[in-house]
Amino acid sequence: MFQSSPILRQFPDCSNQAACRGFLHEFEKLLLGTYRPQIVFDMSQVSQMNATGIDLMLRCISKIANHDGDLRLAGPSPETALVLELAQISNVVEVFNTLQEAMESFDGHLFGDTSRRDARTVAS
Amino acid sequence: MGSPGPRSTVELGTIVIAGAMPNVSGQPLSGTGKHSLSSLPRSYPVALWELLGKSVLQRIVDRLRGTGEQLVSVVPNEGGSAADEEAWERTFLEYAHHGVERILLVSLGAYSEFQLDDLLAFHRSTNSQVTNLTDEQGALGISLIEAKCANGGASSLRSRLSAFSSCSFTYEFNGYSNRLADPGDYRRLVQDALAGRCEIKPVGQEIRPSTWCGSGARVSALARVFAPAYIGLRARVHAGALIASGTSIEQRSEVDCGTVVQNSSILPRTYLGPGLHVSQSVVSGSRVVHLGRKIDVELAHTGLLSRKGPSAPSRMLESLGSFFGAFGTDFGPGMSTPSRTPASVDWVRSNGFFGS
Repeated sequence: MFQSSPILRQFPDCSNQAACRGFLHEFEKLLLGTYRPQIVFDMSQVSQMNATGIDLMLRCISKIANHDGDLRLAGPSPETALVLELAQISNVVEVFNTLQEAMESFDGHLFGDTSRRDARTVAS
Repeated sequence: MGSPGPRSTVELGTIVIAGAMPNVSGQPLSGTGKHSLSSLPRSYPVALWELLGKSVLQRIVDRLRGTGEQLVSVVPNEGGSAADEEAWERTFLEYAHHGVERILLVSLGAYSEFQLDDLLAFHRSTNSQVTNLTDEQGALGISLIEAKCANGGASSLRSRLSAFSSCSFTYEFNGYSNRLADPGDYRRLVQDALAGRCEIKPVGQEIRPSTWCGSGARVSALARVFAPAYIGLRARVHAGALIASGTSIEQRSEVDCGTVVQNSSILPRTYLGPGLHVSQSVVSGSRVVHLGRKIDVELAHTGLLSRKGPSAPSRMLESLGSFFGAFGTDFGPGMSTPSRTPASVDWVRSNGFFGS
C-alpha cells in the first residue's frame, strides 16, 4: 500500500542514547508492513547533532530505503544543518527550513507537481 | 625625554603591532570595509593563521626584510587603558632614543603590498610628520611617523602623536590589499594567492601548474587534486579524497578517505574524517567557520573532525627536548610558523642594533 499522508516524527535529543535506541526501535515497528512510506523528521528539537545522532540518522535512512520510502528533514538548527552537510546526509535526504515546507513537499510529489521542487533546486 | 644615548643614523625602523591598530591619526585605522561575517561576535586573529605555508605576519616581516629593512619588531597590542604605556609605545620611544629617523607602524589588521620606497619618497616630498596609508576603502592601519614626534612634554606618546593628526598626510595606495577582518577575507587572500593575483607565493614546490605541495606532503595516487590547490608540509591526502580547486590544506593536516574539500582552507594539524563534504569553510581542528552559512561552530562532539596531536616521534623528541632544556617544545621544521606562536613576544628584532 502507498502511504496516504506523510508520517511526522520528532527526532530525539542526541545526547540521550536511551531515547535514541527507543526511537529506532519504535521506528522499526512503524515501518513494518509499509511500502514506500513518506516520513518527515522534525529536527527542531535537536540542539546538538553528535555522533550518536548521525549514526541514528544513517540507520533510519537505511531502513527507509529498504522500504523504498522517502525521508525529509524539517527545521534543523544552522549547526545541525552544517553537520548534515559535512556528513553528506543532506546529499541523500532533502532538508527544509520548516515543517510545513517538508510536509507540502510530499503533496507536490504525490500529485506529480514537480514545479515547486524544481524552483527550490534552482534557488539553492 | 630620557638622556640621549649613543645615536646612530638609521633611517627607518618598523613596528608591527599584533592586534588592532592604535588610533594615531584620530580616525579608525583598521578600515571600514564590509565583512561577510560581521554579525559574528568573535574577532579572528587572521594575520596569525597559516596561509599557504606561512602566516601573514611572517610574510609581512619577510616582505619588509626583502626591501632591505632590517630593524623590524613585532609587538603585541596589549589593549590596556589609555594611561598604560603599551609595548609599541615603548618600542617607538626606544627606536627614537637610539636615533631612528622614521618609524613605520604596521597594524596586523590588513595585508597590503605597498612599495616602501614609494611611501618613503612621498613622505619626504610632503615633509610631513605623519603619513597614513589608505586605499579606496579607507585607512589600512599603516603609518609612517617621524621619530621626533615622540619628543616633548610629559604626555603619553599616543596623545603626542594624536596632536599631529591634523597635519598628517595621506598616501593613497592603489595596489593589492586585503582587510583580513574575518575568515572570508582570509579565504579571498588564499584564492588570490593561488590565482596569482597578489605577490604571496605558496611555500612548497609547484608539482603541476597551480598545484603546490610542501615538503613531505603525501597525496594518494587514488586521490584527486584540482588546480589551483595547496597541500602543505607533511599533509596527507588519502585515497578517494577530492581536493577541489581553490582549496588549501595547511601543514600536517590530514584528509581521510573519500572526503571532498571544496573551496575551503584547512588550517594546520586538522584531521578530516572519512566521507565528509567540506565546502566554503575554514576549518581548524574541530572548529568550522562556514562562510556560506555564516556560522562558526565547534564540532568536536560529532567525531567527524578533530585536531591532530604531534606524532609519537615528535612527542618523544619534545619530551627529550624539555628534559634536556635544549630545544623546548618549539622546534622542528614545520613548527616555526607563528600561527601558533603567541603574539605576546617580540618575535623579530634586529640583533645587536641597540647594543648593550
